[in-house]
Amino acid sequence: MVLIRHQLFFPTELISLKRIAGLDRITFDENEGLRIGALVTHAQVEHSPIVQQHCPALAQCVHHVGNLRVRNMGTLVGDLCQADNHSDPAPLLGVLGARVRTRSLRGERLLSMAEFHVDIYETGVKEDEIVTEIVIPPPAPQACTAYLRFSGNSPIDWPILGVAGSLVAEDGQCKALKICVGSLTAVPLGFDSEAEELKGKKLTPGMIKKFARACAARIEPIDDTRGSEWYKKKVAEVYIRRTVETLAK
Amino acid sequence: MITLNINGTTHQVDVKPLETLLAALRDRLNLTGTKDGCGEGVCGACTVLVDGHPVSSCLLLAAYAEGKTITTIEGVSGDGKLHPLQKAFLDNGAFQCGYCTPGMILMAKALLEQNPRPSAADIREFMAGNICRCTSYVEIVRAVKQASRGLRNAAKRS
Amino acid sequence: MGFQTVGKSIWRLDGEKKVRGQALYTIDLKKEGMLHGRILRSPVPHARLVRVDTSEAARLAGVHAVLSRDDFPEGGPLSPFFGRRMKDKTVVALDKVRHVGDVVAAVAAVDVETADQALRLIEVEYDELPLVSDPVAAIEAESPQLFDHLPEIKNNICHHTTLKQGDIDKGFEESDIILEDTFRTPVAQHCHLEPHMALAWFDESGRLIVHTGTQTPYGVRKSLAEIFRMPEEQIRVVVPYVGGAYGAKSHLKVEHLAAALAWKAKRPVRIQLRREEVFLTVTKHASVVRMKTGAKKDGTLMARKAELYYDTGAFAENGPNVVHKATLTSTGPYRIPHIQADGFCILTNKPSAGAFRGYGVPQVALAYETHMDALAERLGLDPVEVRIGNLLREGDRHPTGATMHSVGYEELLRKLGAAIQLGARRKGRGKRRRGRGIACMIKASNTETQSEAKVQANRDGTFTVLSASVEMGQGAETVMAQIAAEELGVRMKGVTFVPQRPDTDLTPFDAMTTASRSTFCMGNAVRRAAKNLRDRLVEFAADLMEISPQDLRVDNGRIFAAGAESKGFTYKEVAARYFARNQEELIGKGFYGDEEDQKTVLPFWLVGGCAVELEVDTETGAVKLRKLVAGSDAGKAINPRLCEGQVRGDATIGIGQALLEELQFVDGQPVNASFLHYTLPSFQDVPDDFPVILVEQPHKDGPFGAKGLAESALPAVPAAIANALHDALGVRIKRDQGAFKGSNSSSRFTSRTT
Repeated sequence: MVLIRHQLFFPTELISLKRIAGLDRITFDENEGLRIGALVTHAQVEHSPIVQQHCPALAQCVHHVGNLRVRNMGTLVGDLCQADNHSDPAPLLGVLGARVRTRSLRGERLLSMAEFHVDIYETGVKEDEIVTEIVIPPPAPQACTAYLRFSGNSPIDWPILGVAGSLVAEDGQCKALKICVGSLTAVPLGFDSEAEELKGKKLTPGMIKKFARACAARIEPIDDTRGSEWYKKKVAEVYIRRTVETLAK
Repeated sequence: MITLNINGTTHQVDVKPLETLLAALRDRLNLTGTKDGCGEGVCGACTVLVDGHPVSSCLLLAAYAEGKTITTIEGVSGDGKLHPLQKAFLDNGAFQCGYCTPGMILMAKALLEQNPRPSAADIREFMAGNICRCTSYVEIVRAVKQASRGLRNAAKRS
Repeated sequence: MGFQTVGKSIWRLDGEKKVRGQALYTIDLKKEGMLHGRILRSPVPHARLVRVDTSEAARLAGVHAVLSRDDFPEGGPLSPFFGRRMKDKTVVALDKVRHVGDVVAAVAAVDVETADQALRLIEVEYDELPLVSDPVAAIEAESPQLFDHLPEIKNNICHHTTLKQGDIDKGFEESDIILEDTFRTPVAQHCHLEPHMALAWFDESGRLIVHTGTQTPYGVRKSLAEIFRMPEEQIRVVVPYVGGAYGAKSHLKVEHLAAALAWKAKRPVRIQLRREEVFLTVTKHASVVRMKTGAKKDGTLMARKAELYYDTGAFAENGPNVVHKATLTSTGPYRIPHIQADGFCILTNKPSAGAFRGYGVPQVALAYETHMDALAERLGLDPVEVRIGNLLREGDRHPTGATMHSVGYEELLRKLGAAIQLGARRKGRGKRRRGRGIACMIKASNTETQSEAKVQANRDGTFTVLSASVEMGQGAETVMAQIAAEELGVRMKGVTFVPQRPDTDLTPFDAMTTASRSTFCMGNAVRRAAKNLRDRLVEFAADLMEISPQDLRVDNGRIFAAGAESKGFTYKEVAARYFARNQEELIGKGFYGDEEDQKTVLPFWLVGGCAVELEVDTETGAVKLRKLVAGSDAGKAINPRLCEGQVRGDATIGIGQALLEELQFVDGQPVNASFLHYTLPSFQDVPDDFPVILVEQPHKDGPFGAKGLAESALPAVPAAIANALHDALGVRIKRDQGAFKGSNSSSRFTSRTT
């Protein structure tokens, strides 16, 4: 609607998908995991007992999307498909290993987040496809997930950056760590190679600091109204560190 | 032609396919209490309740609201006795120019229906997306708290 | 003196309508046969207009008028020129465009969509010119020029004010300590929620009728008269309720475009600006302030040198006056023997900056209050005491020649300092630090002071207050009624005051609703009108009672004989008897601004301050306010609730300007002219702990001692926050807003701290 309002987009036909059965569902099963239909609003995700049970970090994360009125109308799938790089859920869905299910006359596809995110306002969904749902696989046992966002002085502003992380640790030792940073670059950025270095090691403050510095060094943030490249890099390091610290606790 | 249920009354409205609920309310039904502020869903001046949930009517297609229950500021107390929220807004100086006020009152109404005893933090959290450029919001928080007390006391009495 | 109505926090007269959603704003008005106007704006910041071809647009079905430079031939029926301080603006661009958003053409069509479509059919060829973006560079002789045909403008400077006193060199020689810094503040926007909006038509007799949410109905009428080459009396300007203004709705904004389209289409035309257009219509001045301050070891101020470079954008607008006022108060409320201040109002290729709450003072207050704080710190003195020790006192002469009066700074500063326990040693540890800071401000009120009012007694016992003070949220309707009621000797309860909203056909002349002037200027006019009406009522009652008017008293809406209370009439009875005998209206008239009133250099001083306690995340620069105290000298608070609301709301805009707001430009293009990307203070950005201190040092000429206060908190807020950040971090912030925002500008801030 905002694009129409700014005359960036002139739809000639508008098709409502509202009455297609099943698109408004949230379900969970042990095989596929959590499935969130294309018509499910942010508010429904946030308050869903199923999401709160199986993926509490997502319920908390979507609370930061826009404002309450937007969350009451806007959908999680819609947020992803708009592919604005200042998306709160995008990096979190990245660390959760979520996939996007599309449908067309040609059949169904399941896109990984890496396949889905192409560029700002550009996704891997083809013109003849619609997105039907997001599928989040069941979390690994003992996995901790967190999403930390920084939006400058105003807590309700768009994120300058958002850091999602998931950690499996045993006796303070890192078994698996995933970090994904959103908003800074055109598409969410993962740090698998940096995380690989930590595998099997103890998460000491020094290690975490080193890890955060290594991640931040690889980010090339977009310089925009929300911060210069230099500043965003600086804050990214702080927030990656804080995210891992939170997970390690 | 669509059917809209607004403040308990059914209206047959002829709308264009891309017409917003805001335009339908203001231009076709002359319900001008709902205000047009930014057209981007940010300021909240156009807040209405759809099935009890606050939404930005500037971003909502009128056609989408078909079959749903819509509440606008005109439906809060009509010409009758002021709603406790309206009175509390007056008592606390919770508005100046009054342009954001219809949206604020509807937002607060939705909050109190979900949570009859909100803390100041709850109010700030729930209403965070509505902008007032005249007051400091402190006055609005006080008004919503006063109204919540009033509504709880009224509920006890009845 | 005991007051009956003054000093009481009665409900706003417009309140019930507003909470019910029944109050009518310009945006709510419709007119039979009304067309919708849309504006074609320049996409480039500086260019020659080579070609504007509207023929295709004019042919589009549903289009009734296309307005372009072709409608303004020399000697044509309409004059294209207007402008508040100089005739630098034109209704549509004639030869050049000077900022992104400059008006190139306008269309009136049956609906907004058709008008938008027509805009896309207008062909415009631009020959781009070099960009002028930095105000300091703009005044260099080799800089490109925005104007070459106006003699008032030289080197892009459209105004220069100087304030001199003593011997500046001697002042610095005699100083033990000298501070010298450069401060920068960015462009901000008013963000009134109701966009600029006008509905105009020509009636059957050829009169131009304009409904608009303006702060200056008489000013709009005058400017329209010049454009349409009509006598002012042939134009009627009506102002419904205004959905926020803060300075942005003074003088022509869209009224002339709606009227010109209505003239061409011969139909009523409505123009409502979109939010992104509002950002390009008027802004707050970005500034560079160079300040040098000298003082003795004991903190006594000796010398102040100030250079103010205010970026006024593409047109002078109110800029010259903004710069004038800011320069004249660049010494703050302090006694400084040696002064040299120069203020420059500079043209650049940005949307034009005009009046914005505080009127140039926030920019300069950041500089002088940072220096007061730095002085205290460097000399080991208390920040409150160093300010109090230097204050201009009651009766002192301000460097402009005006006398200090009703200036309760000492009480205010002490209360502000105590409210946040300034100097407390609890700074916090680790990554989050706490700081406390204080600042005050001074602003001169407007010198154009004429206001006229009428108070009318109606047959049914109600009263009508006829005043052209615009109700834009500040509570003008309510305060004027309270002043009238007090003077008439009636209580508001049980007596209806009907406000007549501004209408140049009905309400008498008022200079404008700006500069916090209404309570003082219009308040005096209303009080005089009410007294005039009371005298008439008393005289008529005396006639009825066959008694001398001197022997009559008035209380609680009754006129009675002194010493014999039972003998008398209520106002309602007097009015009923009056109208039984007379056809003539029962009206009292009042005027403020005659020669006697004008003897003072300026009517009153705005006196305010702010104290703040905050917490800062030293790793990111993010700031959280824990407590903010805003204070003002009200003279006498006519309606304390309204006064508190004004002060707190004013301070909240200050919070935005200090921590969140900045309209950013890249190569002359605005990049965040939208509510999505221009961050306004929200429920989450303002502390719960937000008390207001109202000091009351009665003004001898104010109505019941009252004066204006609506701009007295904002200018002190950025300075208080900057001082609190210094307290927390030991770093001086020399950039307002962005300064501390966790964004672009925050990087500059963080770079200084690390």
